[in-house]
Amino acid sequence: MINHIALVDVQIIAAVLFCLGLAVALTRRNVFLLLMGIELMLNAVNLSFIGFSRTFAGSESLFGQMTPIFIIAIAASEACVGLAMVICIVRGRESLDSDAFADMKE
Amino acid sequence: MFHSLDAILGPAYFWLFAGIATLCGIGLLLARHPINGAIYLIGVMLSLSGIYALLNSPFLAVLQVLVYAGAIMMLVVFVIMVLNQAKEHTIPLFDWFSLVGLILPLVLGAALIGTATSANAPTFRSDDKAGLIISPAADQSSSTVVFRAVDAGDGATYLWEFGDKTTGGGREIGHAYAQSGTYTAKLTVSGAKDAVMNSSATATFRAYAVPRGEIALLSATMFDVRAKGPGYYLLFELVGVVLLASVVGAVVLAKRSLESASPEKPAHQEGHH
Repeated sequence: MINHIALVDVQIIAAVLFCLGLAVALTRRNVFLLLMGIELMLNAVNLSFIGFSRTFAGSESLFGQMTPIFIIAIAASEACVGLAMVICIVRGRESLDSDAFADMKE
Repeated sequence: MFHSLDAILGPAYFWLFAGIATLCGIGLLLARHPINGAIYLIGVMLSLSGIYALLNSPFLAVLQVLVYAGAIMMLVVFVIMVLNQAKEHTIPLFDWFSLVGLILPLVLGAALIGTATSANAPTFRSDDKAGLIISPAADQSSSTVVFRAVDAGDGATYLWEFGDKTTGGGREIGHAYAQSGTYTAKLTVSGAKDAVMNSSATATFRAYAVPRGEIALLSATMFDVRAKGPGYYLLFELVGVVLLASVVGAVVLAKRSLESASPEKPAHQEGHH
């Protein structure tokens, strides 16, 4: 049996990755990097769930491992919809700068 | 011997993967071109998959590579290639005003890490002078509960009653319970020179007979419809129904749009399934 990995360390790494993703999503101007920052945040949440699932006994730990499957499915659909929107908007504006997306309602 | 080698290698691999993930995350933040960022993100996802495997979640480790690194990032890279324009180089790396937004992640990170490090492993400490310390979370990979008492001085003997009609001696002792449940353990200290230490203490806690995150148990219940308790099969059935509904909906929509585009001739090819 492996695993003398402290669960606190897993949560710290998850927190670091989440904050990196948040920083990418907030500060970068390229719309692709914005989407990738959101993906990184979702990944960090997955890691947190899996880390916490190990605090439960065998069958109960399934709860913590089931939620990441939903998150992965949501991330996949989010990437599809987000990239489709990017393609549509870039066709009209010829720019990948997120500032060009600011007036979507016009 | 095998156990001790793994005990060293487990954390080493974990910190290796964690380091790669963090460095790739920083690389994503500072990436000059989105394609570089995508490659850094794939690095994060692959190392996270390694961490999942170390945490006894092999199914999610496979799914992570398959869906995230495989499907999603493939799509992202493909779209970046399609829209690859010379204009991308004219976009500044950062909007200098948006760097104010860095304050939020920094504050959040400090708060999260501070909370995580201040919350230690759950230990139950009785307020008795004998200083009974029971840490059920000491060994995550086995069902062993570790009992530890404070040093009662020279000549002290420690008698543990584990609550399942077994006893043991020693200042620090591990005990594996045959059945999961709530137990009350009792420690009696005797023979200590400091008379105040000669006392007893009890603590109630929950012990698990099944190792946490056990692979054997996971694989036994994963696809077994008859298995009691939570199984993955419900999730797969749900996802299957959603996929089926979306395929049927796509076919119906495609047929309708084909009919509206050319109403004189009926649509006889859907093309995809």
